[in-house]
Amino acid sequence: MSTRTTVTMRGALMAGLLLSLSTSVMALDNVKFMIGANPGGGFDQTGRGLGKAMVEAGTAKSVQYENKGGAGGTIGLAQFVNASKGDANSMIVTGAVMIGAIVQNKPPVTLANATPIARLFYEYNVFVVPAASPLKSMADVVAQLKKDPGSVKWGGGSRGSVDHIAVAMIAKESGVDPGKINYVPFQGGGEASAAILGSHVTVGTSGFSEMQQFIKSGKMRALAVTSGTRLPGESVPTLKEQSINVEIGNWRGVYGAPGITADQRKALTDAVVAATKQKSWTDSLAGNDWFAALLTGDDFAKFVDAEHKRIEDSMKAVGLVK
Amino acid sequence: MTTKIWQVSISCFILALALVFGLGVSGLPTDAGYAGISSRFVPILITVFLAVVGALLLWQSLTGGFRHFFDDTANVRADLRGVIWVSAGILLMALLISYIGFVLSAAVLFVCTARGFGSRALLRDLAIGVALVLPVYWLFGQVLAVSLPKLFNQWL
Amino acid sequence: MTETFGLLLSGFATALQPINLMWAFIGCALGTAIGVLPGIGPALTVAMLLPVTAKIDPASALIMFCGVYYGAMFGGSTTSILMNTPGESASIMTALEGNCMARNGRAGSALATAAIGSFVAGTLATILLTFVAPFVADFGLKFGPAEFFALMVLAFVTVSSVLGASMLRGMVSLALGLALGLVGQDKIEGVARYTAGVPELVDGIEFVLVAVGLFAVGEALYSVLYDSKTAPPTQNKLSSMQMTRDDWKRSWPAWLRGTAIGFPFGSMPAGGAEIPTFLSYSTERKLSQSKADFSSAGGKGAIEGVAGPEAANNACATGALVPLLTLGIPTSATAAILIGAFQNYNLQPGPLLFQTSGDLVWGLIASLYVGNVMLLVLNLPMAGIWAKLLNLPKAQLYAGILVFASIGVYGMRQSALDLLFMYMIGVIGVIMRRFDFPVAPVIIGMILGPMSEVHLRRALSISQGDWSAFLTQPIAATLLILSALVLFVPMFLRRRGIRLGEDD
Repeated sequence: MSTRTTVTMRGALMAGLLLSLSTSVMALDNVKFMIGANPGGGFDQTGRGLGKAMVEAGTAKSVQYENKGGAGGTIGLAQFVNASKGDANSMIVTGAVMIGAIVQNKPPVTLANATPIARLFYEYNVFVVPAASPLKSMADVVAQLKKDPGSVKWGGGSRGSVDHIAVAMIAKESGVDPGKINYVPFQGGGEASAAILGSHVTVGTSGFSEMQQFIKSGKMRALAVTSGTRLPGESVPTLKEQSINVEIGNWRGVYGAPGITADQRKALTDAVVAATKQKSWTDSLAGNDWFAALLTGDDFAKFVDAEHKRIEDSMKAVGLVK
Repeated sequence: MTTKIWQVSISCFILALALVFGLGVSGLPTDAGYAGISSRFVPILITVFLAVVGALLLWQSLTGGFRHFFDDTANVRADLRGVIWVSAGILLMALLISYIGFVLSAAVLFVCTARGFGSRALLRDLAIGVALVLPVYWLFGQVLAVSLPKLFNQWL
Repeated sequence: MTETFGLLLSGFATALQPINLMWAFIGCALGTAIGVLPGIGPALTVAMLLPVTAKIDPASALIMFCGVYYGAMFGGSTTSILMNTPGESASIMTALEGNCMARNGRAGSALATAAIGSFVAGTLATILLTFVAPFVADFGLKFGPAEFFALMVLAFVTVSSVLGASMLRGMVSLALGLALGLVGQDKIEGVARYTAGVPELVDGIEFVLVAVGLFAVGEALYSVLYDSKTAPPTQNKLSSMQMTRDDWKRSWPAWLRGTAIGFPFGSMPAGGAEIPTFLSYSTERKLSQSKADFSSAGGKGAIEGVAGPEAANNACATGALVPLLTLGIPTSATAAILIGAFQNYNLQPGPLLFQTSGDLVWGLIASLYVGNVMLLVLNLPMAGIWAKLLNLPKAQLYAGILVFASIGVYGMRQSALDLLFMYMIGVIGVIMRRFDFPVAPVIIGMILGPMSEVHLRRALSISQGDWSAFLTQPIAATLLILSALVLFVPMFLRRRGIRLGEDD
């Protein structure tokens, strides 16, 4: 009994000391991350990278991860919402992919059941052709698309992914019916890059970091990136520069548990924001060609609603959602 | 139940499966895109395949039974009590794992299975079961960082 | 050539440093231990070990990861042979003959041919990787959806080799597998098929679950139902621990053929290790002088049916490093995670890697030779010890098998519901065993079905609905002609009264 009192008192002292040292954030106890994907993918890297940065920033004493892959992260989301009600130390990694899966599969549990915390970063797509392709710019691609939409075979990730939606938006902006695009879905960046390198598809698209090395080594030619302005240190023009008014990225962020109080939400948000200032986090952003795009609070909630609508509209246009 | 009833039932099961998959086709989109074949194409092929093999199997079972089939269990008395023990082991593990933890529920499975196969040394089996699971538990927890259900502390 | 030798030698200088030898050993041992658990593959293990990249230097970490990768392949074959529980899809073929041999008192030989075959195939494949990687990788890129679909057709026509005593019942099993493979999201259109609104089914039925249910649980339930009172599976107590002269004679060509099938498959930019193991098994079955030994013919287990697929599996694993290192393209889940490991060191596998970090790559390649030797040294003496496991009393043996099967299935995604599914599939497995339906075609159907559909629809999308595309592209056409030969030549010969072997 006496030992326990001592420990508690020491804990209180420590907390007080920490409070006085860092006035902004108090360390959360064991923070739990739900990752709606198997280890190794983008969701996983995001969650683990952020968790590590939170420990380094001292805003979390320890972190735990749970991987529950499947159905674009919505299986993990359902479990998260059910199991962590009111748990102020739980977070789930989310992003454009999960929104796409929610629009497409209409699961009973959606992000509306959880608490928005923060958007973290954007990852942009690049459009590439094999080095030997006669197509030199997006204008060439669009010209061929207008002439014979079926002859432009677009290779990218699964249907409903950011890759697919970007293609649909390009078609729409160029005055071509998005329902008429010849989109060939591949699983994972590896399969898609092989199909592009082997000239089995006309144009390919994937995250910039995945294609970067092929562009550098001259095996592929980059035609456009999907960001608003050119990526730092890269010379690839944007779609907008080529008068295609499309800007789209694959963003990722975190949500908290349902039913947490406003104070708990603020504490969690502050802890995440402090972690994004850590060197390990900025390093992993730079290493993956992720572009920091921090957005918190109600602005983030509004952003997610807008994304939901945008993705739903694009999916309707290509006939993925009725 | 005689072999013939079993064989007819199995054939009917395959035909029923074909029916279920065939009915499911109607809910799939017909949009074929540039490929010219839609999400229905392969399910239809497989449904037809199931129906054909199911029908042939039914025909065989009604006309003298499965061909090239030697019933090597015809004269063996089935040990239903053993099956119940083994089944109970698996079902208990599924049922209890969230409550009594990974190690103990796996040990329960070990004990029940061993009992089903005629082992009577309950305590020894329990000890072997726990000894078998602990290293795996350690591997999951320490190396794979997968957290498994536990009963009360980090070792159980 | 001489340049390559020089680089390889400097690679050995890296790989043979004591510290790196230690990491290779840890990787191999860990990989073997994890491979034993069904459902927990090398991909998950490497993923979970990724954090060590923060602590140890790149060469050591990658050497350890490759050890895990190789070791897991080994562990999978051990459980297949001893417990009839394939830990991963690539060891299903091994289970067919290997377990049959084990039941007939030849577990030692089966384990030995698997271990030596893996060593031979791994080493030969590494030699190929060292000297011809860039050419192989470029050739692999010629394979697009049309070519892959033609390969699937070839795999389908050779499937007859696993159909067992009755062609019809084999076909029923295959149809069942194909139907199970339909469940889940259609990978082209993205629509959910036959999921009955259950979100867990959107990604399809995990085939490790089905394999474990049909093989291990079905086996245990069948055994308790019909022969719980008889002797343990090793009928012959004098289980031979070593390969006989005849075993060697039959294994050698199978190892070489397995390597020749596995390596190119691994180097192709889409694939997986299942198809080369199927093809190797069918090849061995077709070429074997002693077809009556094969389990599906009611024999006592044919050693070439273990030697070939095991060699193919390992050669395929090494082959997968070709596109990974030369092009930066992952062809398996493990390779994708290895790319993640490279990226943690700010290295990008691909065409530039040999120039930017040559020492590392050559150190890695050299460590593959070392890892192969290490696995052989680790596993060959173990074969005898493992084989003795089969002399355990039946009660404890089957209890152990079920415990391993259950914790593997549970560990996959920590779902108690999966245990119930496993049990139900096990019950189906008992009925299939009772009425002599082969179980392997179920798994083959589950794997081949969805893959063929994806490639077929991609290929037709690219050709805009023109089916002649399969015949106008030389590689695809060649493969289809080969399939037609495999299918029709034996039929034709039989009609003319010429038999290629026993009647099957």
